[in-house]
Amino acid sequence: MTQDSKRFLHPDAIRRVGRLEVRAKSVVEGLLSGMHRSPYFGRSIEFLQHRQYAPGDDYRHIDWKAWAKKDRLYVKQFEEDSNLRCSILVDTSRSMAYGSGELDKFQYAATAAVSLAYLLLKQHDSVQCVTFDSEIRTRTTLRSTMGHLTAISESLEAVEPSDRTAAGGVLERVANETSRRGMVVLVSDLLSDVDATLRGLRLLRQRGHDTLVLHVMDDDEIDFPFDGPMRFDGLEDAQQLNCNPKALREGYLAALEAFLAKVRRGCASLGVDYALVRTSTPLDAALAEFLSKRLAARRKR
Amino acid sequence: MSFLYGQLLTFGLPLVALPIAIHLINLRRRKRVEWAAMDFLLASQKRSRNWILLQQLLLMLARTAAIAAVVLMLAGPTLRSEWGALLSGGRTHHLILLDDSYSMSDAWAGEDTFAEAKDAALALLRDALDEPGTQEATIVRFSDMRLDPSLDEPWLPRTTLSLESLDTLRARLSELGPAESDAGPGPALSAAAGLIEPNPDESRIVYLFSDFRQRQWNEAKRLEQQLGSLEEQADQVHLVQCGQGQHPNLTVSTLEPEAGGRAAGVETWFRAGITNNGQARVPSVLAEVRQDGRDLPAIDFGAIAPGETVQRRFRVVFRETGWHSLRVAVEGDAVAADNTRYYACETPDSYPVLVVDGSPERVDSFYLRKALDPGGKGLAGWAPVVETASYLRNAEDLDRYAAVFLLDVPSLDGSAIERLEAYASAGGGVALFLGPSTQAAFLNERLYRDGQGLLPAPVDRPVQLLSDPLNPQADVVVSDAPVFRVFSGQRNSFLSLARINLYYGLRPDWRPAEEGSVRLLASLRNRAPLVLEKPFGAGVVIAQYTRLSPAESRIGPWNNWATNPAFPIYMNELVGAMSANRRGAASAEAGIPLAVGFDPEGQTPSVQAFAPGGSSSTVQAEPDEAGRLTAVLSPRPESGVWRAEITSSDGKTEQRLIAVNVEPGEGDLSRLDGAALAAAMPEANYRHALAKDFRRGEQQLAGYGLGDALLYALIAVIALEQWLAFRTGYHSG
Repeated sequence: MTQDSKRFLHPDAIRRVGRLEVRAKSVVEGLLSGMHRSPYFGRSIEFLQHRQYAPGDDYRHIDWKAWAKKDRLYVKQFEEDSNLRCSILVDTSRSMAYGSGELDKFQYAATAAVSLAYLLLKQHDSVQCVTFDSEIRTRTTLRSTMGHLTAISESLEAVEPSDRTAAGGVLERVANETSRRGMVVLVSDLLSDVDATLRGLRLLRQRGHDTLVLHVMDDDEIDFPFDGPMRFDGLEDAQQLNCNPKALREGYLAALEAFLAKVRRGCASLGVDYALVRTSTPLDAALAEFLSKRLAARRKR
Repeated sequence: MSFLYGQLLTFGLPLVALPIAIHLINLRRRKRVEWAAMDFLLASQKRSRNWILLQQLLLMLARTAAIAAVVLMLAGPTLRSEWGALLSGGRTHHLILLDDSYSMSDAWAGEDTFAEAKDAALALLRDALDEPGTQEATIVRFSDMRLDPSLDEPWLPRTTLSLESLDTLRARLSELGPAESDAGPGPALSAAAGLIEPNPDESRIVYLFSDFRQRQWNEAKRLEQQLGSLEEQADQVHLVQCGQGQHPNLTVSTLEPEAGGRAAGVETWFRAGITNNGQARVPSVLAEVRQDGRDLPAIDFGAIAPGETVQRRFRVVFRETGWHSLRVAVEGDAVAADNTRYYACETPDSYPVLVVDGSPERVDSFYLRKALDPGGKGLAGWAPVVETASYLRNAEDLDRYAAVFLLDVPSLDGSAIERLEAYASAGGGVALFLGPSTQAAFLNERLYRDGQGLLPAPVDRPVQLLSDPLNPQADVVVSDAPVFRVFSGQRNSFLSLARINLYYGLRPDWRPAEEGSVRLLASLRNRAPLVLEKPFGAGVVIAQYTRLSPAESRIGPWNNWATNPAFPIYMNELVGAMSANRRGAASAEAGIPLAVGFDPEGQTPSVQAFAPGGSSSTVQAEPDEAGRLTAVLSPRPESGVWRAEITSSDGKTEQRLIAVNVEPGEGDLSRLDGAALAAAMPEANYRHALAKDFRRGEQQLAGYGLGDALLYALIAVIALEQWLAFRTGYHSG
């Protein structure tokens, strides 16, 4: 990844890119330009094209004949099978509307979802996008054409965060309604009943789905940097709290850490790929890191 | 507890509510945040709610306490013997010892030391009134205690303080001025010990307001002991320094005739002295002299260096018989009381002098009479009365003689000796001139009596002073005693011509009974004593161990002194010195009760007293132990010339003048500061303060200042507040 691409993939730069689709494409292009080991490329039989070798490419894919002819190293790229069916579940509950930076959690999650969709569509995988809060709000069809990206983007752009999160029930429903095994990506702040969410994830895993959790949180939620007398109004309920946040910071961070630990442990025990992403993190880097980890985890398996 | 600036509490204490008000305002000014992760926040709040509330409460209390501490500190709180008050039912006795010696009248720039002391004392008592419990006060003046240390009625007897009593006290103090006394702190400290007898039911605080003049406090060891014994009885002893600096002050320190008063028309030399008690040289001092209300030529004392006393002689003639007054004054300065000195005396036509002559044909008295009363224009003011020794046996009126001369008296009987001794004891002067008729045994046994009698030294036998052509020295060598002072220096030429042939030698084994009991006035060139002086009671005896006259005797002439021109001068000086006490000038010290005594016979006990200021009063004379009547003209007379009129039963009035003067030493304004006092009395346990800083230093004076304690408390509270604020997250780490 070059410095220039990094600059343009920073959340504040992404935010300036108006349409979600275009935003996702710029993220993915940036991501791919820097990722020399693609997580999906190289599994097909049918040759697609040559590409100049770059450090990091698998030696097995070097076309030695082409090297002999041109005295340059090329790698062979194959057209992959497009039998992957991916459902991207985006949390649109009211809590996702919080954001202290350029992007709120929902915007960040939507961008991440479309970026993933774009990445998958580029690989000719089938993608559908599901938005939910306490229940499923929208659901696109499962398609593998690049034009489907527009539909996914539009479905996310049409959503305004509202209502409470109830990821557990939604996940169970998705598990029940998706008969073929595929990939399920959950993009959420997970601020709901963790046990129910883990039950849903367990069901997905039991149905054989490759499950990923992209846990989106704002910097404020992780660092709790507030000072001075404040009044906190709950986004998903009517709870209020007048307090001096510094006095509560220690307890808050402890509670958060317990929550995150529980999520991490639950995901790990279920074989769910989990990544916690701050909304201040450049999205491409976050996705790259997430996908790299996933690749590494796959290899271990 | 009391406060120096109590009104600050009125404005300051409401500020204590500031943290609460800020807290309430902040409740309305909280920043609102819509928050997603409420569960974690609520969990945190639930977990530490009580502890946070407690910390916040403590924080608010700490902030409130900090403000209260600042306000209290600025208000100057003073804790006055709270424990004592608690135990004693809250009774505090303030004993104020007030130095009212005349140095306290030291005035500068519109202020004076005594007023400063009064204001400070009043402020002290006014603040004491704000204290819990019963407050009592006693004020003792130095001058009162000097007169009578056992005085049980001080200037302000023990009084319970109230607004009314303070008003009365304020009015009394406004009229109170310094006495013209030189009373020091000693008697007042002794009296104070009696006024605050230990009493477990009260706390006792002693305040001594003084200017701490060096002269009054020079007996530091004794005062330290007195303070020590006072500290054992009092809970606190405060020495409050009044006045400031040492201001220029001239004191008329002496005004007296050089050899007693003289008779009417006789020229009298007076001596006046002026002391510069300031710290700077005074370049020119001119003293005004008034005799009987009339101005005499002023006396130029020239320049006077600091600490120096310059004396000048001047001539005065009281032409009329009767009472006369004299006054010497310098211009006003810091202390007015010592700028004037007075003298009063009665001048008769002449003073009778008794001459008891035992010489053959009374030849000795002839020379004495010629010397004392030459007749014609040679007026000396003496009236010699020549009698024989037998006269003394029945003499009832020796008191009327200015002096008694015994010339070559062979012997006296017991009653005569008793009368003479009584006369001398009462202040009379007796002159003894030995001679050929004198019996050595009588002198030694009856007049010397192992040093108890009149004769200064026992005699042995007549001795001849052999002429010594090789020794040019005069036969008579005089000392600088007043009698012979006139012969000192170059004016001694005639005296050197006096020749002594015979004299009585002293017994070789004789030594004065004690040092200074006998004084050598003149000796011979062979160092044999010739004229000796012995104080006798209030009077004096002067013995000349050679004959008065140059007359022949069985063993030859004794001397030729009486034919010497210096002889009349010698005799006049002699009788003047001897009779000075009896002719004495009527003088008294200011501030000491002024009394006149008189024979009750033919007199009414009612005496009219005229003060120097012109006011008059009638006082009744009381008989004393000796049967004489004594009238106290004033218990605390001011300086000046007082006049008493004694009325006889036949309606005639006898007038007397009495010069009342201040003690000149009190004019020395050099003073001890706090450090010097501490150095002089290292063992004494007292608190020292300046009256001018009294209000500011009142916390130290009147109790235990809480300023420091509050400061430490404030620091502790602020530290606690910071810790709590950090703990509760109101401060960043």
